[in-house]
Amino acid sequence: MSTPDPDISRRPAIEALGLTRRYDDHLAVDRVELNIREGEVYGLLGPNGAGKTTLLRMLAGVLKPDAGRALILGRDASLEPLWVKAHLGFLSGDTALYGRLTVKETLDYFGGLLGLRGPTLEARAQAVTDELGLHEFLGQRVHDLSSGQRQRANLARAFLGDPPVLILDEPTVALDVISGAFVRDAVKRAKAAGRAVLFSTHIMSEAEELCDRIGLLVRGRIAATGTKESLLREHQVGSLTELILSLHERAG
Amino acid sequence: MRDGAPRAWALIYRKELKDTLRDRRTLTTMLLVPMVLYPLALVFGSEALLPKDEPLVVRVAAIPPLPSEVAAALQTQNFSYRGVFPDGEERAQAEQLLVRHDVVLASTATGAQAWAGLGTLALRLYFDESRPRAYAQKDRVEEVLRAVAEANTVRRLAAHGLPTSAITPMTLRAHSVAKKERSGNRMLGLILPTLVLTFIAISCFYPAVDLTAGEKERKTLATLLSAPVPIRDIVFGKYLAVLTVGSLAGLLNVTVLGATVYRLMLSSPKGDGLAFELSPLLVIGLLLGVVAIAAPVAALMLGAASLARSFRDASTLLTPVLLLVLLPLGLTMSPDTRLNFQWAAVPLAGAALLLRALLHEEATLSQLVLVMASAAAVTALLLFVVARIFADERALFSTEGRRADLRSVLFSPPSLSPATAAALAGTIFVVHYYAGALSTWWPAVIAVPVTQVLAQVVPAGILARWLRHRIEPRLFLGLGLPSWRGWMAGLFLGAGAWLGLSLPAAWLADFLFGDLSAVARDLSAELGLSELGPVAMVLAFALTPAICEELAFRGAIYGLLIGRTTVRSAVVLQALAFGAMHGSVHRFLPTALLGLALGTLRAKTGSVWPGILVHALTNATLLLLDRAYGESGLFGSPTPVALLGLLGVGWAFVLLRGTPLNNSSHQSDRPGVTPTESPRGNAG
Repeated sequence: MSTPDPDISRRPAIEALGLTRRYDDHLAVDRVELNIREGEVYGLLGPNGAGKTTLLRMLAGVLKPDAGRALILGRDASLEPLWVKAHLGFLSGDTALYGRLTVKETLDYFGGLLGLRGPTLEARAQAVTDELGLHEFLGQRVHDLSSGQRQRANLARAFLGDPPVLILDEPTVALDVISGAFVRDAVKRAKAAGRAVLFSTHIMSEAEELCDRIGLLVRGRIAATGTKESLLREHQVGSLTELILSLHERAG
Repeated sequence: MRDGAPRAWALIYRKELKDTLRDRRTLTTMLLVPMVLYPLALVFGSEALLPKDEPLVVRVAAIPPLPSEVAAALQTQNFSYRGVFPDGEERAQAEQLLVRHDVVLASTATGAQAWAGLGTLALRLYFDESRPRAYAQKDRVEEVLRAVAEANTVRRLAAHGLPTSAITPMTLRAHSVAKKERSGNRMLGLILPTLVLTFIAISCFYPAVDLTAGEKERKTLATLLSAPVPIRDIVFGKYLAVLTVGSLAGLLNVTVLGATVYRLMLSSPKGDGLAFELSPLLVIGLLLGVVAIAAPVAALMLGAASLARSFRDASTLLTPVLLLVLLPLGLTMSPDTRLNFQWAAVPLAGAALLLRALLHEEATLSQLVLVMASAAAVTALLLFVVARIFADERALFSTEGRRADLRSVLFSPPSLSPATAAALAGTIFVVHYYAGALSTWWPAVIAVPVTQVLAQVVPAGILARWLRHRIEPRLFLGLGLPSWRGWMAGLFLGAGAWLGLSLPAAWLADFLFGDLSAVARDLSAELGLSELGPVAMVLAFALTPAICEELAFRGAIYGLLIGRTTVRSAVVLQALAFGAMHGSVHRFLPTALLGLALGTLRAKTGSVWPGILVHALTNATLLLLDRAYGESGLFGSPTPVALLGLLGVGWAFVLLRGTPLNNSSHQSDRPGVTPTESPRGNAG
């Protein structure tokens, strides 16, 4: 199905070309096509087990696809994983922080792994600390933080390299109102700065508030994609929740 | 509770027992290891590797000569006896005699009369407890003396019908003349290997699990993997952490335990003489021995733990590994097992025995080098496997479900990288060493070529075939023919390499380590050169090694190295591996220098053939010079001859001048190999 491109002049930042992944007999991701441009926020919705995490991991270069290609800023994530990882911020339920390090030590460590040193690292750490309101607990160990504070520190880790691409897997899950707002503001600022953001969520209101386009992943396939309005219009439903349920039933 | 029904604890007990016995890992740990592995290791160890017990001949001296009846008992085939007359202070004379004897027996001038009458022959037995087998020798002498005394008593009293307790024909008091520090070191040598091995194994256990399965469970491993860091850096960083924590914790345990025992012994009445002599050189040697134990143990633990899905899974996986690591304890606990060249090459066992040999002043530099080389080779192989486990995503993400498939991890083709090169070098070293045992059954003229083929051509060939989907084997091994310039360069370099490069390096090795002529003489005798015709000699020891070593080092290892390093680094690294493979401090410099020239030739001509020509000519020059002039001709060649050789080398490089060091052909034919898996860069 075709959907209007938000801004054809912007470069493609995240592309999935027939991306497929199988776990033994289970087809987790089935020939997924995606094209997300710079400055665009794309929301990936779908029930549990739809293949969202697997798809995002392949796009982030931490999992190899069985078929198809994942491109970040035109570079293949399987062939150039280090370049791709250096140019994207990835956060998922599986990317926890080291509990025995303080937030400051965490930022220093991951900044070092990104190749940041000295004043550059200091400046970037300061920027993400300001952006995500980490000042109060910079010296605390991660395992002493609340889940919301921990998620903000983790976002800071993902934003640290000032990456042009962000892939966030359910970044607001189980967060309180304040931490959730921090995350949503961070996504809005990323969009304003021209970054491409791909994020998955179960919170429909969040997707409606943030996303330029939404993709619905059902049983490993993109069952529908477009703006919220175009999806509701095209499928003649009243809400995104209704649409997901109907697509899920249709997929059997 | 129902009548007749088993109690709850009994039900639970039965279920747990059944559950435990149905766990295959438990069965392996409980049954396979103790019932199969240990007996096999012991049988194999004692039959194949333990030094055969030489008959224990105890050399005894007596001041003054013992009564003839006693002396006769010490003149059997198991003893050598010598009577000497007193000369100065008794203990000083005994210490002097102990230089050439194992036991000295001293008595007074009237001892013989006492022995003949109804008196007592009071003997003082001097021995050096810091020597190997000192106590066994002392016990043997005491046993004989007691038997003689008993026979004497019976004979003297039987006639009178008196009980044998009526007289004491002989008393015996033993004194050790050993310096208390040497005795202390000797005792330490008996317990230190066991302590070090045990504590390091235990100390590596937790960090290995925490940094792999623990990270998987805490979901921090995926975070690390999302950073732009090559897998090899992740593995190496984690390995060094396990090695450091394991070694330091192990050493701390040993030190604190040792210090506590030392204090306790000092405060006991018998411990006032306890002392150790730990010179800086000895401490360095001991630390190297500790590294040789910790390096492979840390790699093995890290590998096993990285297969685990969770902390709990890791502890079950690591238990058999721990038992395997502790296997050499059986050896080190036996005071009769001594470090020899066979043991030195066995990982862990060699290092544990090295600790003892160092403290007993029995270790040689070559043994130390061999132990370290063996540990390095095994560690390289293990790290290679660990890196492959880390590259398997199941090993990284699967906290539930199936574990990473070790078979697929081990048997999928490796990458063209320094890690694979290190693993190949390690394999060559290990196979070379053990295939070298063939020379105990076959003459060197057959054993050497067979060993070369088994250790070098076979692994290089298997690797080339394994990698055939990534790079054509002919290209990988550099089997393409060179230009005429390449052949000519090979000819000149071959003519001059021994005289111009290896000979000056041999002089330097002689200057640094001494006794090069003896090494050459031993090698010549080992190869049986004097009994061979020139053709057989050149075929077996010049041409075959040339082909085999060039295929392995300038072919496969060089081919793997230029996959990820610069050509210059590849040339240097393969030369170092080539030098190390020759397994001797004397031969390292000449062979590494030759390897450097051969590597440059490979890089400039893109082919191994000129190198084979050079290598064959070099070896042939060496053999024929040895045949014609002996060792004096080999190493006593005057400087002008060396300069002439250097001229040949120089001319070879003049021929190749302008030919760039290249690996372009190699790179271009590597479909499927990541072209720019390059250093991390700043994001943004």
